[in-house]
Amino acid sequence: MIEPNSLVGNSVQFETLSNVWMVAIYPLIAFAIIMFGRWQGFLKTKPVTAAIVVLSTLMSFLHTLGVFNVYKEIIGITPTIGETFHWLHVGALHMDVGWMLDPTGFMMLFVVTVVSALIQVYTYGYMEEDPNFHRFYAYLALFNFSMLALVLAPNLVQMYMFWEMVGVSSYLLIGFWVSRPSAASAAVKAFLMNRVGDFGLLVGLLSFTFLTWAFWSGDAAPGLLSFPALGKASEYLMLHHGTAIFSIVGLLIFLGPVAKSAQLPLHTWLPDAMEGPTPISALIHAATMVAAGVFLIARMYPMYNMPGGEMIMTVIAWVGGLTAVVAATIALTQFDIKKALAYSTMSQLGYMVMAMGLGAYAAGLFHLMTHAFFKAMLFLASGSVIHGCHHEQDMRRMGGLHKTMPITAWVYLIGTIAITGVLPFSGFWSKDEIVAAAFSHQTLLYYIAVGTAGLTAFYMFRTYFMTFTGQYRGHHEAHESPLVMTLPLILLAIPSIGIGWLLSGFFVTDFPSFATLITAPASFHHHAAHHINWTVLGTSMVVVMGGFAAAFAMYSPMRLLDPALFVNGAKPLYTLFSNKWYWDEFYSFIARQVYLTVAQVSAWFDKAVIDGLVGLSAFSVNMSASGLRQLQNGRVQSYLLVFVLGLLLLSAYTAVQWLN
Amino acid sequence: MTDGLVLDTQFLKFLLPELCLTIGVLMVMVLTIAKTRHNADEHGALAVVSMLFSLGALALLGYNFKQFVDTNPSLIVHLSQPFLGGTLANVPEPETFLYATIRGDFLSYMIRGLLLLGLVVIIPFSTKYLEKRTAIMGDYYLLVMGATLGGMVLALANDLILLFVGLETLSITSYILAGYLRRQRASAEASFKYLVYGGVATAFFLFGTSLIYGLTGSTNLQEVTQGLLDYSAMTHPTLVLMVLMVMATVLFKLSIAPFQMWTPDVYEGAPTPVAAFLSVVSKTAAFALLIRMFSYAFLGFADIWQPVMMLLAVVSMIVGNVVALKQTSLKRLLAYSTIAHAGYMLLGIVVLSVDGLSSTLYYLLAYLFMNLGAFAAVLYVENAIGSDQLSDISGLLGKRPGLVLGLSVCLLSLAGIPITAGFFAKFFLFRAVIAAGNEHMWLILFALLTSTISLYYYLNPMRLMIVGEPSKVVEGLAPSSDTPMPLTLATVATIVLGVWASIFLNATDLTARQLLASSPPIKVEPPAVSQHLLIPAPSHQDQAALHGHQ
Repeated sequence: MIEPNSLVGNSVQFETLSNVWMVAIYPLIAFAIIMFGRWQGFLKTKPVTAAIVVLSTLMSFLHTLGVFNVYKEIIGITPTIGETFHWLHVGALHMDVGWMLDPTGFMMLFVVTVVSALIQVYTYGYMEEDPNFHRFYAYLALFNFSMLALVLAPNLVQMYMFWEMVGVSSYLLIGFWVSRPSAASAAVKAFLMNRVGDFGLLVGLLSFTFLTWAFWSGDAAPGLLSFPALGKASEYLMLHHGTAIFSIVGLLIFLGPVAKSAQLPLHTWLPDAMEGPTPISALIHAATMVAAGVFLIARMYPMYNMPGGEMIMTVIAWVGGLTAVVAATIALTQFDIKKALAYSTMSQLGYMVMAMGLGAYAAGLFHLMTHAFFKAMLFLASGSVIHGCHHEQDMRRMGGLHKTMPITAWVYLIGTIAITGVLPFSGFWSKDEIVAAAFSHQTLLYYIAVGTAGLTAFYMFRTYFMTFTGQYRGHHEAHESPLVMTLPLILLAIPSIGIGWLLSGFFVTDFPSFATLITAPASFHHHAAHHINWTVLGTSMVVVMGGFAAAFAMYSPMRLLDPALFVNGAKPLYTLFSNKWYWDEFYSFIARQVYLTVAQVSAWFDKAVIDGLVGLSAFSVNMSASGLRQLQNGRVQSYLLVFVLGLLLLSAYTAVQWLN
Repeated sequence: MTDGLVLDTQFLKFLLPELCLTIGVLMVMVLTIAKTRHNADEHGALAVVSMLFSLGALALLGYNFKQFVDTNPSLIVHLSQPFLGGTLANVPEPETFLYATIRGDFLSYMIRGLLLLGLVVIIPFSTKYLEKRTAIMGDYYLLVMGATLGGMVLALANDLILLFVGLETLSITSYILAGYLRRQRASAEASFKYLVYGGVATAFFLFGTSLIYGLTGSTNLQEVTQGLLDYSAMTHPTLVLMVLMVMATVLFKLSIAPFQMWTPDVYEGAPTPVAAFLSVVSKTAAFALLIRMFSYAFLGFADIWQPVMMLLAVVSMIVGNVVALKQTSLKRLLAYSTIAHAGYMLLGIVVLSVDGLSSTLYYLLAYLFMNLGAFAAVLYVENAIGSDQLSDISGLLGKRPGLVLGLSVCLLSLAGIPITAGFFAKFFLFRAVIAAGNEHMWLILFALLTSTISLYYYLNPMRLMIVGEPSKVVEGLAPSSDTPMPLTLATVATIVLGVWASIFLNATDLTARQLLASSPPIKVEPPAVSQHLLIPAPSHQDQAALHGHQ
């Protein structure tokens, strides 16, 4: 049954490459062990559970590393490797499962495994007191499995399955503290919001399949919706159905990333998702799962980035740009440290989506990578703060924590500098490339990108100053977190500082730069980002410094300016921002006024008309059942009578048929 | 036809599974006679011996099949490749043995495999049930293996006489099996009813086959098939009578309405493992008979029997599903469910297409596991609470979670809920019927409608077991989490068959192709039946291959 077939024509065969799917299986095994162990009752010690999960992630990481070492040798010959197995081959339908890897996939694997491993270590400290410690680790392993399998998926069918799986894991983990009503409703909200997007994605995939069915159903046709064949299929779609249909299908698929990566207008679930435990916010809602949307766009590039797909690309770019700026403005007004970081995540995801829309494939994914490291670190640091301040999340009751929590404060500062994009921290390299891409493609988006950079500097330093400088305003004694929590923070600080210049290709020339490694498949207009645009760099530096200066003036211990001045000075704007642009109220209005009215009308229709019909049919079926049952009287004579009569009737029926 | 005087010993190899099973029957017989005192140990030994020989027969069949495939290189390509709608030209001619009385085609392998699989699942769960109720166990194994043997002969027969011998071996042993618990009134009554009803049906079959012989002067299936083509129903109305007579018998075995009346009474009265045997093994053998007679010998006269069978398939779906709603006993409910399922399976035959036949065969495989699973679960429920009444199983989840889970999966599969084999079986079947032509849409309409109705009575026992208040008998039950092995096996197979359906579809597709490639052309008689009925939208290559055979 297993028929390895190289996805590309090249026949390079390596032993190491034949079981890459195991990368995703290790966490599944860990999940199974924990579930089974808890069920049978022999798994009782917390360190063992944690060790199983961390070990499984390390195995995934080492396996990825081993595969990459082999892959390095052939990257020039064949950028895509993979293996598929037949899953459902019926008639013209060829559905496969398997795995596929290209540089983008490797990058995602590394990011997911590294960040996951560190967060899983951190979790041990953060969740130690929790009564459901084991369940939490089991969910972490389940999420890891889903995420790695999503990255490895060789076709959209498999990707969609794991896309839903990560959604489920996210739902379970947001609502982990089930006894809190706010956590439960946040989980439901995340699930519902993602349903909207996933429904679009599903409809998009189905219509894509339906419209290009002839392409997938030949004798030598590729597996259904497999990524290497996506470009050809898209050309087929364009050729046979025109640009309009093509764009609609593409945008429907884009709805998936819109919800998953919290883009406007399906973004409102992400801030609420911060009700989950902080390691989850760091892992799922900052570093990995929300980036899956960007990853899907990258995988869809053969379709989006072809002649005729300009409409889709423009929409993607604008959705990303608007999300970036809207989220940044909301972040300005938040007092909950995790909410501020959540909006910052949303804003950075906006950057990535915008980059993808502008054709800056490498830049978008580069930012995905750097952001995963520094944002995970920032969230973990905020978790450390929350932990140290006895579950206090309001920054107005923090302050001066630099003295009591020096390690946390330092890494938070590093993260802040990285996200604001200051040379030479990692955020600078990736963000600069996006801004440069915007500069060369769309002037308005360029202004948005630069402006957002300024806002980012302001709100990030605002959180830093409010939390770590000045006087402590809380009631409980704050304390530094244990080593098991600070160590991952320190380890995450290293890539946050260094990964940017290491992979940018400027300073370390013997290492391949990110942009040469990661190239868009079937690139139509390729954005070359091998040079620094000094105009762009200068402008964005100035704006960033402006943002920093404003934050310093208002929130540093010196208090040069009173924030209230601005709050009162631009009252309408402030109200708009602090109410999150009234998106929640808007949805609430839709749900309550519009949806409920429609629902009530259909409920009436259902009760009066449909139920009546159903009742009637059930009644008639019931009556005929009783009637037919009478025939079954238990007497073999009457049974035989039915037999003979039946035969006679059949003969008569046939005779009548023949006489006609 | 093979050379007259030289006895080709090839046939012995082909018949190895049957020989093995026969030795098993003899072994059990000797063991039973040698021991006069019966005890539990001996029951176990008998069961083990029967099981070993059944498994041996299954293994020999597999080995045989492998050899068959190895000698047909064109096949290897086909079996290892995914299902791509291969051409008829690739399918090897079926071989015949022993003066062309035995036919070694894919169908014979497949049906015999199914029968043996059924037997292997049934034997282990019979023991526990019968031990409690009777002291004489040996005869049971002997009979159940003998009946399977009859079914296997039926599946490989290429001669009307051999066909009849197989049918009678199966029938007569079934009559005795139904009355195996002879001290129980219900069991004896079931046996008697089955005997009388079956006797009448057999008489019809004999009458029908004698007409065949009268018309063609041969009992060999190939010769009969060719010979019948000389006649036209316009000039020989006997032909219609002959087809209807044979049809009545086959449909009686399949419990298709209006020949289904015996089914509920016999299933309810017979010991539960016997009911499972009748509903699965006996029915599979009957399908072999149906396919041999109607998809092969009478295919030329499809326009006579096709409308009738379509009608009866629909009537069975309606009767089975509707009357099942009112049942209060699980066994009776399953009896009506088998009537309905027979109706669905008949659809694949009546559309006269490769896809239809192939999906019926897949349906048989799925049905084997899900129905045996359901019967096994009912059996264990009966063993636990001593009743199969719906009112008594209420709230069983708390006491027997494993059992309830297994039964639920099987019921969901019978209802056709996705990821189970039952869903895919229905899916492929309906797809084949739709592909066979728009004029068959009404069949699909009824099939969907009755499937919807069936949801009620399949889900109702689940609802009772899972959310219902524990009944009196259930309350007195000691909790236990163990899940019996046969039930687990059937449940897992039900899901695996669904998820990996494509592997089996390869084989069923090949079987159907081989069968229809060697079938006679459909005669176009006054009510015009167009050629496209045979294979939906064939490629040019297919058509060329097909006409080549004519």
